[in-house]
Amino acid sequence: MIIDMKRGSPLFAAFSDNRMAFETAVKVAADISAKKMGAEAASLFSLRDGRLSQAKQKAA
Amino acid sequence: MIEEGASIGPLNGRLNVPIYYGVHDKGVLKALVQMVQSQRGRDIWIKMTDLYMCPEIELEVDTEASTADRLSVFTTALLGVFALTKQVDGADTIKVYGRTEALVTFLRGMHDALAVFSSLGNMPGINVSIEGRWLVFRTGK
Repeated sequence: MIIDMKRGSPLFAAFSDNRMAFETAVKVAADISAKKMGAEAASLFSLRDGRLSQAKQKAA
Repeated sequence: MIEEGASIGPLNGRLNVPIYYGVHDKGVLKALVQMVQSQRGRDIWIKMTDLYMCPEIELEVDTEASTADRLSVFTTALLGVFALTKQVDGADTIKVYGRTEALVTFLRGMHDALAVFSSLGNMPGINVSIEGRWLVFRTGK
């Protein structure tokens, strides 16, 4: 069986057709959002991101 | 053994099981991305359900630099998921789950910025929305 991998999925086609602009948009959007969050952004994806406290609440 | 489980390898054809990919930088593993694929009719949704940072990054003291490191890993992971959709015929949706309240706030902020970029024509063919705790990217149909 041969699968045509040139274009991949519809999403990949849209992504790859405009890849550089899309990658820039995602990076800039992440930067803008983090700046909007201020100090709270520092806890994103760290051990202090709320997972432990949320897990404790669920366990209680 | 994880090597014999259903959680590694190509995406295509594996539905409703957690699948893990590594985020590497110069050969060093920085994080593991957890994804789940599901099917809606002929369309495949790829859900980025979690991101496990390596201990060196996760345990860093929270500073501007460590925040930038973590965000860089996150955006690399997200763009990597887009690249992986090349393997999946019919993939038309990527959803990113906000596991914590801070992450939901962050994803909503990303959505607001991406919506502006989209309105300016910088993301042709990809629509972005918020659905509950999910940041959703869909092909424009």
